[in-house]
Amino acid sequence: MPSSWSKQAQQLGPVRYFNAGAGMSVIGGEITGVPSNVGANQGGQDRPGDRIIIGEEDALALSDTSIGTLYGGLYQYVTTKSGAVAAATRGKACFWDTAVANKLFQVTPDESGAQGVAMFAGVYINTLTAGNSWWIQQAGKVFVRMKAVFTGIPANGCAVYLAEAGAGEPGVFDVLDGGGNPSFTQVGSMLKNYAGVAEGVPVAAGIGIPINIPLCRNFRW
Amino acid sequence: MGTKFTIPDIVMTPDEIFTAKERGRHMAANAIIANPDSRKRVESTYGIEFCKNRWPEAYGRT
Repeated sequence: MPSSWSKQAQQLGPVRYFNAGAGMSVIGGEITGVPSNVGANQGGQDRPGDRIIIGEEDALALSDTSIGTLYGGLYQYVTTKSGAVAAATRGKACFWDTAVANKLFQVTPDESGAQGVAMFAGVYINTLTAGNSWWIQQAGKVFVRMKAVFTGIPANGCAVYLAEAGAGEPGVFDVLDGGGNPSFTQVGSMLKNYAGVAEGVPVAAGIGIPINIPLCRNFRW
Repeated sequence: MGTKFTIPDIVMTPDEIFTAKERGRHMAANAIIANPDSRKRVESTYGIEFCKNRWPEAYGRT
């Protein structure tokens, strides 16, 4: 387990905000102006698996509001898969890549054929370049991207689920309330896919309404 | 620490110990130091006295 609780602050780099930029191509921060093929970084202490808790006031300070607003919550430093099919887009869910060692803390925006959205890792707070490392949000209030057409009827305070829409619409969220009577199998999927509670009325295909993700949805420590 | 120093680097020392939340608070202080817009936003939202106490590094008090 990374020594997540006793490290220096994340160096924000040239983007200067937490939710700006496309992540780091070198874990610990890439440097410029050195000979190529030198395996060097800025000496930042961030390693995949690190976790950080950001308070509400800190989140406001760290937000590039031209991109979006961050809220207090639990964040984890991960690497997003370089060969992913889907884009690592802000507001979309990412999933633990079970094809690699857990210690790499690698996530993917693709929904796995075998596991679907079961291994929910968190929500991208930036649009990251594939293969780069940066922070995702795992608990707390966060803006998420909704499915193009909801299964149920959205309402303020309704439950929000991972849509499990597959390759056509990976990593988006759905509303099921009012969508009919579920079978036991569908109840199982609802338990597996539950992501949080909407704060506001969710808008289809939008990212304008945040949800509140409970702390219990963390699979990699 | 590293080859390229920035203002946020200077206010940290390598042997400082931060808890997860203190680390987040320190990152916010870095953002306030680096971003005038961020400073204005938190000051207008929370008031300057709160900001001075929350992020003393960003107000010349370490």
